Amino acid sequence: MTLVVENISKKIQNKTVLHNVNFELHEGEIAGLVGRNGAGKTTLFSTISGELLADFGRVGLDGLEYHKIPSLHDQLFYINMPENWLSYHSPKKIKAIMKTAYKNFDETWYDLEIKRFGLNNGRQIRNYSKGMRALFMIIVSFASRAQYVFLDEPLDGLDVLIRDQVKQMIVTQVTEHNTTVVIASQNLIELDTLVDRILLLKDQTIDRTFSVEDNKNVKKYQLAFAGDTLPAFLRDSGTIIAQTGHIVTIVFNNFIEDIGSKLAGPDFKFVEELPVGSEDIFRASFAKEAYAWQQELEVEE
Amino acid sequence: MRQSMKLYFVIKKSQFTMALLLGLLLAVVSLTSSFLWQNITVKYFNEQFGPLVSSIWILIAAATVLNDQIKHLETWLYTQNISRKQLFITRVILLIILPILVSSLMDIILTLITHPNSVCDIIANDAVSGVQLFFMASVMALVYTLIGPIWMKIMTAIFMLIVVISPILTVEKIDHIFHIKMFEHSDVLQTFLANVVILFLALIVFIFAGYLSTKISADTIDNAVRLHYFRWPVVIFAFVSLFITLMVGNRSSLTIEVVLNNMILPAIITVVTFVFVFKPKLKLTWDK
Repeated sequence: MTLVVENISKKIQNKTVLHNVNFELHEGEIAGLVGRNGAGKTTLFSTISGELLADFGRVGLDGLEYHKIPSLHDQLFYINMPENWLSYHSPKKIKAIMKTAYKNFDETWYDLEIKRFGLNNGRQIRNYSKGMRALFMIIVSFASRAQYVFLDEPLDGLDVLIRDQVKQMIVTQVTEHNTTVVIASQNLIELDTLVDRILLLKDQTIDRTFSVEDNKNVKKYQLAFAGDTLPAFLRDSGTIIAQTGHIVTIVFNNFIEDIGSKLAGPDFKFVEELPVGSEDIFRASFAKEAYAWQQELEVEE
Repeated sequence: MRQSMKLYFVIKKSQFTMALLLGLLLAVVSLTSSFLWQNITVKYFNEQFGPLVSSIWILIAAATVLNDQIKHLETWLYTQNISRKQLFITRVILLIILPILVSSLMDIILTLITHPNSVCDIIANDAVSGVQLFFMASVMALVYTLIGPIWMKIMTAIFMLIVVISPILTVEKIDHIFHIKMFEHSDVLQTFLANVVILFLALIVFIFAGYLSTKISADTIDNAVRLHYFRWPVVIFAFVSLFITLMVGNRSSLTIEVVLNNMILPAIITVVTFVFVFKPKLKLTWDK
């Protein structure tokens, strides 16, 4: 079973939010959806799920038009996390509703998880803490037994211990039920440990899809330069993440041999390669913008 | 369609129960007033029980639909195993037709218990008020579909009630619609036909609103008019409908002065509507 998103475009208030978005989701994978604030992650989820009508494009599920065939809709679960109607109901009432909405709703698992996390079954969700609300939404999402589960900032507000349990829950659900999960998040460090690949939403479209393994040419270094000023080639070929005096942490978007030779030269007192995470790849993808900001800041100073 | 009805009913089960309890409470009041306090309570209450209950239920229904929008239930339902058209029809059936039918049924049963002789009058009365409520509900449904923000929905609904719904509902006989004496011989037939016309009109409005509901995306919720190609028609409608209403109510002879005077209020309303619909950004500055 494959979900194909083809040329989805969407304007909101005459502003293009999504333009020709294309990607595929396969059975049993966990994909991360990253992009800067306001990049259109929630709009993308809302458009795929049918909350919003796309201006152009289609969503295909096994060759069928997802938006035109309502009976396919229980194959996808998405609920806007912070603002939703579920908050005004108790888990008990929500179970009754979800049983009607999703034909494969797993009532036994739902009850077990509600009990496991000590959630009050008779209390309205809006009376829960922010973390408990987020946790509850994740439980409902997976209990739906929809093939595709879209989670928008699911770990937001969860404490470290619960977060680990939730991450474990997501992995277990994917393994046991072959569910496909898409997680929109700003927290790239969190995604690193969860996702198989990352979809980068940039300039109103999926700019690229990557996994850490696929980006061998992205490299991260910590180095100390010898002279008084930062060697110019560093700014030209990489994104500086941090700088304290002569010590610089930098991500190279396209690490070529020439950069390696320069780093091995006399301009540097100390050079150490660091492990690359999704966050570094994300930074590298926005290298040009980051450089432009740096220039602007320097002009202002 | 069955899935849509089932899902919406399950979600709204408690509201349906509350509404039914309220209706039963009113039925008890009606019964007790008939048997115990015949000289104290108003006769009107017994006669208007059906229309009263259905009006209350439809008001609750209107509030329910607004609530769905506030709580984002509507947007979630768009993602469900039901189409937008099915959701629209479900709401019409569960929130409008069902209350009218159930209240009429309750009214007939109560009448059979209390005044069996007047059951035919009650049925006729309920049928007429049912058609009128159905027409009002159709216009409300159109307003609720096309207009975005809650307060604008309410204001537009009030405006429509004053300038569109009320004048149409005052048409009691078919001759009043066509301004010719077509059915002079029978008042009953005339009333029947007038109600058929209103019912037909309501169905057209419902079909139109249902069609629009399939074209409207959830992101337009903050727009005064949710479909951009309806913005100018809405502004023009505000002017024309109010102008006609004022002109029809005019008792004095038709002069240019009267016409111009009757244009003042419509012009103000049109400007206000235009501002809310198009949100023009006026730059008030002395700078060149």
